[in-house]
Amino acid sequence: MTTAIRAPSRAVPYGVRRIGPPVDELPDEALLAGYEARDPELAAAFVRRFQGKVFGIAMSIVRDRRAAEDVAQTAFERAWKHARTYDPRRGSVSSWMGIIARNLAIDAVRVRPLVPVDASALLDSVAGGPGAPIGPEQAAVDGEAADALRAALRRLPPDQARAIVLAGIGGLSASQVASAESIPLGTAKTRIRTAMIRLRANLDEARAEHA
Amino acid sequence: MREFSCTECVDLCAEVALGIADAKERADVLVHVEHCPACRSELRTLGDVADALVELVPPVVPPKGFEARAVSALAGAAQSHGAAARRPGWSEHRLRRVFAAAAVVVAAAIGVGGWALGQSTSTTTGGVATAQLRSGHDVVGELTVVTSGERPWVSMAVHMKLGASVVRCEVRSTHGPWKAVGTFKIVGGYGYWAAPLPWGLSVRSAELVTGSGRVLASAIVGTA
Repeated sequence: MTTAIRAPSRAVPYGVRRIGPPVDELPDEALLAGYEARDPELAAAFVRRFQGKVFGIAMSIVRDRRAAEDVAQTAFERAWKHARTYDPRRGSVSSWMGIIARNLAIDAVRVRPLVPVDASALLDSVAGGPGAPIGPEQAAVDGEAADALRAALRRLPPDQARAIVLAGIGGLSASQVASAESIPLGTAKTRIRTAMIRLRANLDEARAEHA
Repeated sequence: MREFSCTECVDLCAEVALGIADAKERADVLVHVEHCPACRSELRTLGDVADALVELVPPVVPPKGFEARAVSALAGAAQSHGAAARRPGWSEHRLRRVFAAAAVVVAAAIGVGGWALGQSTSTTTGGVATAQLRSGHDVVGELTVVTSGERPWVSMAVHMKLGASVVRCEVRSTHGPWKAVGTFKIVGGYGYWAAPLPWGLSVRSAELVTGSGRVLASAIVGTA
């Protein structure tokens, strides 16, 4: 059973000054509630807060700015339509938006020819090269879990790391990973699965250390 | 039908969690985990990893004017939503059902993982279960099962590029046989149908089937 975020009973129309903190200081969940209630000011703030993340995820999968914009726009529409299904126990609003964007982007690329993707570049973009500093944009989304996962990605055997970023970040199916890496389908599936299990073990370790 | 084993399920869990499995693989896994706690746990934990991976993607500044376009599109979507409610010929009862379905889709899946599992499954809220009707990777409609009233009923809303066709809705419980519960027409790419369910029939999955028996789309109803 999901826990719904209850929307305000009335949206605040344009021109009415809001009492309370500036909208850009509101917590994600409150913004989502206002977004769902079609409050124009909160809707704009919601889009502003998550557009970089949503567009980044869409770009990582569709690899085309125009298509990524379509995906991102659809993601915001979908979030609005289904805001009541958001369940904070399952993750943050940011994570929820990210998954909506990823799923839409995957749906979008399934109906188009595969655009070649550089697995190593994709890996560097999310995990950084060996010893590479993390850029300010990545630092902004950092947390302990992200740090642990990034480190775990760097520790994976290179073939598994490429397979998992192609699938998990690039949205490629196992058969597309096989094609991109010139390996049999079974090998691609094994690499994806083994990498996921290793990442999970590393995440579990990191969480235990911080518990 | 051949039993889908735990070994097969575990082999596919990573791809399902990542959202890259095809529709059949995904359906096989989601049906299996409904009655297999061990595989459900496997899927849940891999779903957490998949969700965490998405969090690593660095943000990218969208094209100039995106915010305004997105908000404007949202306003348009809201107006369309309101216009649909005023469409002539739509009875209030039917609208209630459609909006009940629209209100609860997408996110929660069947309680077996992170947000990743919300891609194409279902949500159950207050006796109303909805599931996306999928043809391959395409969402072509929605299945709604309502069990909160005096008698359970089922509905399908379908948007598919088909010629005028008569299709049927077939449903099954977790292990039971497929049972046809109604037929309806798809005209102009759209069809809607609703009917009470036979007594004692619980719905776990449904298929949209042509007169010749070809399965056009399927949906899996989860349990919250």
